[in-house]
Amino acid sequence: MSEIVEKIVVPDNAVTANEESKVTSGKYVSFIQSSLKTLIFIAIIVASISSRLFAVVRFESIIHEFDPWFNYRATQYLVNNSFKDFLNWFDERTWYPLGRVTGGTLYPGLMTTSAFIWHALRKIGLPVDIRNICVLFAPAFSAITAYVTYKLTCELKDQKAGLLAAAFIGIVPGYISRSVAGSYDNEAIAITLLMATFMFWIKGLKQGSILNSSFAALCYFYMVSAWGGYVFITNLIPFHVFCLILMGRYTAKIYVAYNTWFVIGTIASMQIPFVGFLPIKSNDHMAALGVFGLLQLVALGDFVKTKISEKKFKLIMWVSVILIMVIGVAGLFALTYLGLIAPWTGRFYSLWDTNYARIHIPIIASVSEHQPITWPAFFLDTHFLIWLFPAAVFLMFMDLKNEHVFIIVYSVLCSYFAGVMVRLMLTLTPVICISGAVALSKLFDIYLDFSPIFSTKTTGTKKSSFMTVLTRGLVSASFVYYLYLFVHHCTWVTQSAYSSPSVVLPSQNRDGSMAIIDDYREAYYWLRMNTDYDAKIASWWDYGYQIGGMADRTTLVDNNTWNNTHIAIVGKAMASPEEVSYELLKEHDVDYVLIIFGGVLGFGGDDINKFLWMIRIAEGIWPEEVKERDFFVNQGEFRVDSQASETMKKSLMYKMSYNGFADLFPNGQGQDRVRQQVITADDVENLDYFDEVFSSENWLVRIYKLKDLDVEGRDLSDVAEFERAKNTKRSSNKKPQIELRV
Amino acid sequence: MLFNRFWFLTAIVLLFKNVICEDFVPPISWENKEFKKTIELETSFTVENLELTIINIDSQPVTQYFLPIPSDIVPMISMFTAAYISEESFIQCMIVPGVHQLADGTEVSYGVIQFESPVAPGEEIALFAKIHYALNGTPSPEEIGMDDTQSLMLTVNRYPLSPYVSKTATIDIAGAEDFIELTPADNDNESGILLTNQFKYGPFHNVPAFQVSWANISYPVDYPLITVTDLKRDIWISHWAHTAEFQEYYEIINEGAKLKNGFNRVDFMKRVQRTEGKGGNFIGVLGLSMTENSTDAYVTDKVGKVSSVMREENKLLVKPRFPVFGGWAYNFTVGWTNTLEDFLHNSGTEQDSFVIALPVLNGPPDTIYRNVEVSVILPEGADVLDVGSPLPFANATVSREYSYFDLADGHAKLTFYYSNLISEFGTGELVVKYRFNTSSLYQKALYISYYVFGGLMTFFVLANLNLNIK
Repeated sequence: MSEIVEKIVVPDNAVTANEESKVTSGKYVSFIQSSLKTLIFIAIIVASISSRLFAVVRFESIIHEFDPWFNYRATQYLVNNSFKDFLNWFDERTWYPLGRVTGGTLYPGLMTTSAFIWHALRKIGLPVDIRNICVLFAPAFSAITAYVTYKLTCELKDQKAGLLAAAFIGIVPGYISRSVAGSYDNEAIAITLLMATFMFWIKGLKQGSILNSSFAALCYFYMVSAWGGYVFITNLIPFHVFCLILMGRYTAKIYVAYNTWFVIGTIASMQIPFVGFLPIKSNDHMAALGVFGLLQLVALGDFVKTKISEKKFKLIMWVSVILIMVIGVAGLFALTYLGLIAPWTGRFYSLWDTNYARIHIPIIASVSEHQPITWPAFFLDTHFLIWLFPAAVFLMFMDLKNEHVFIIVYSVLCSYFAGVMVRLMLTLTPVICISGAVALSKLFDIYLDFSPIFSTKTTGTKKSSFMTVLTRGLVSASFVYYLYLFVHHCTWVTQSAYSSPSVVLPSQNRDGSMAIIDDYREAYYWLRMNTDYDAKIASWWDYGYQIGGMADRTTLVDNNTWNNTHIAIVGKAMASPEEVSYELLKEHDVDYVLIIFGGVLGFGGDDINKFLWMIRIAEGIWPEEVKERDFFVNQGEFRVDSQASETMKKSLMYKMSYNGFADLFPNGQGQDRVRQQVITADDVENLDYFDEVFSSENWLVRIYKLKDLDVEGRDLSDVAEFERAKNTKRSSNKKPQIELRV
Repeated sequence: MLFNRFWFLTAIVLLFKNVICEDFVPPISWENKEFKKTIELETSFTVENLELTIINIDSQPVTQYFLPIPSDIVPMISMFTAAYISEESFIQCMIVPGVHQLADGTEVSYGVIQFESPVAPGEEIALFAKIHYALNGTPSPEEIGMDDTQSLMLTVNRYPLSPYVSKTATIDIAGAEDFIELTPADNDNESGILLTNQFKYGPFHNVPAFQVSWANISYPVDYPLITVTDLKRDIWISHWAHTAEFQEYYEIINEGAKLKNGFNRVDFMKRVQRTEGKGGNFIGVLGLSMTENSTDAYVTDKVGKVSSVMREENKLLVKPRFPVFGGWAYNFTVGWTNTLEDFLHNSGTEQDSFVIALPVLNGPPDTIYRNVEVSVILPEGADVLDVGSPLPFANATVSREYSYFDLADGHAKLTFYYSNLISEFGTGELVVKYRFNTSSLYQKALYISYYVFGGLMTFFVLANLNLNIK
């Protein structure tokens, strides 16, 4: 489109009257075009931001889920302290008693950006609360993503495809799933940066521009500072270059673009404390380094080729290729063997072998977002784009320019990774949108062209012209209808699937109006208000970040699962008989134990359902003391009622979950609504070492306190037995403190 | 009653200082012809009513009547007032430095009733004194089970505590369903008599000065003892929006008996079912009173919105996230909006000056407040001319507050600091007179447009910079 405009606008020196009128009409057209474009962009921005606000409108302005609570807490720390303090932040309130070198083990990009926005808004007289900045961060960045995607797609096809791509990425559920208001996670900013890096990369590659490649490197640096997924770029761009070299498309432009990006990007990325020397040590980054070296050799070869005869060159090439391969592979082995470069990480293995995690690292497998994706999820997240996507990739093959190779490489790699791990659907979604937009725009280029009606020259018969128009009308109409369906689907999915904060659970009143179940905050707030500031809370790691963020108490383990053994300690405490757990927890200074119990409410994601993971992780460390087999009954079933295995009934988790549960029901037949089993008071043994101190309204969260050691040095179970035997109330004879005397 | 209506006008700043003084015994200028003390316990704060008929037995005119108060509760006095019974006019009252140690070791300070004109020898005066204590009885026992009844304990002197001889004296304790005297009396004469909803000592005759015999009395209380340890109340005045926006941050604690065995949800559910949700010694629902005709009420706490909120006319029924049992704490922020006309008056005398009268407290009934900070935030560009507080305050400051688009000098923020208030005094009105003219009103809009224009110009210039090196 811009080409057309340019053609019309650029005038010759000698302008005839006819051309002059063309110029004015051209100006007129370009004005309409640019205002329409602005209007479309405003509409896209409004759509992408507003569809992400369902969560705020239906619930409230609150941070969602688990990880965002940590990011929010870290942002608060950054806002209240200096940047230097933030980078040196040692958090002694998590992973008690180890603590966490938080400043050195996080990606600071997200927090720094929010803090920057916070300070900038203050400067212009807008003291917005940091929580609101964090909540609205993702929607705001989704608007930027839409613009950057537009620019990227423009490089691939034209502005028409660009606008479509912007609209798609703005509302596609696959991206919304990680960027609704309140979902304050690294991905919120990372996707924007991912698109920006790719956009600048393609620009730099096309023009051989140092400027654009430097921008790509800066965006890459920003991306490194924001998300661990930057490794994807680190591998994708070298892979792209490698493919281009193999295709014999080496040019000086590629040389300039890649070297600029690699050198600046790598040095910049090493400034992030958490990344440090990984770019030259870790195998994840070796591809980039290898391609960098290869590129130098190719450049050298290219130079040599111009100086010597072709026959000699071929000989030199074969010898050097073999030599380099031998040296390269040997070097890689040697460095890994010497421990100079890090071994391949477990998370990386699980990318290639889906069973790897399940067998070797239960902690990775226990995270639901590390599970392989299901087929319906593809459709749910991208709707009709999923079938336009392969078509688009095919179209790119037809038109195989360098940038198209990039998109093809991106599609192939990402499709595989998304199939392995649900969370990587997020990186696949942008390329699906871009490809979908390119395909659809190619389609519309042809089928939305109704000019044959107006054309004065009748080339064919009237009938064939009518049929052309009819076909075009039909195809266009059906695709416009698909677009309508797409918008409808996106709105519905966003509203129903992705807008729940998961901190509060939606439910319905008897009259059908919406009610919310707020048990988490009830219990966390109880902890915050009524326990010592230094109290240590033991809970399964899923709730660590939330306890840190909402209850503001010290936790043993949290969602930053860096220490498997420590997590196993909590797992063992939950899976062991209470006297063992008590001792173990006392050794770790624990004051309270918090569990999630969904049996009353029918909430499936509770701790009993996660119990097997706890057992497995504990078994990994103490195979002699915790055995998964013992928790199953003979038929290999996982039961919680009277037929539950003895080990199960004795475990702390079981006792804590079902303590007093049967009393809730009039006939003493406790109906567990998650596992559909009946628990009676006789099934649940006494809890002698722990006191119930709080249970939330719907029993979702139960908090127990470790009893103090007996003053007479008796075993706590003996004390409890003695008390039960006595069964009499001892009245307190202590004289109260006198305060009011009048 | 006059006393209830005008108590705040006569209240005098009470200065509580830890002055170490020598033993002070007032001159024996008076004789209590009749000393009648009633201690009211209906509310979670305590009120002491004194009906006195006194005669000057000195040889010269006297202006001061002394009233001993145990030193440890003197700082908890919220209000001390006195009035003539016959004339319905008030008498100046204050707490004076100077302590006296009684025979049993109790240290007392003195409240002084200062007559305007000296009372001639032999003259008889009937007066009425009232002391509000921001204090309630101590839970006794301190820890109870989920289903036990909560009892509080009060220590009371069986005799009138007075530096003068009392001819006849009675001590009444009222306001609870039952009373148990925990400390046995030395003789039958001394022990109290239990009447319906009342406990009575006396009448005694010819009681010597400073006669003490302390009795611990326990009485059942089936409501929570709500104490607001900190209240930050901000009132934003906006002439642009014609609103007065209230925002209050409460930190509350239930001073009642603690739970002996922790909180058991089953027992709690059973209890609520049994009592049909009538409540008990825990804070299940807080009935916050708001100003009349208010709109847009909201309640949040540090983890987000509190959804269990219901509005009933001018009351906001807030269900805290968890039932607040004895010893438990909770905090929350509540806010609402009123139109400015509900409080604002044009000052008749001067142009551009306004008078705004705002209630000192809203909030839950039957509550003790320890530290209260009430701020009135005037519109940008307004100057404070005069202020008036109905209650004695510890401190008052004027500072600047910067809010949205306060690009010039910010708002004038007027803050009053109070301590030991009780909810009953909340209706008193804080009066602020300030100057705010039309040019200040438009100044803000001009400032905003100025900055937006500056921003756009900068953008325009930057967009047109040509850095092309070709």
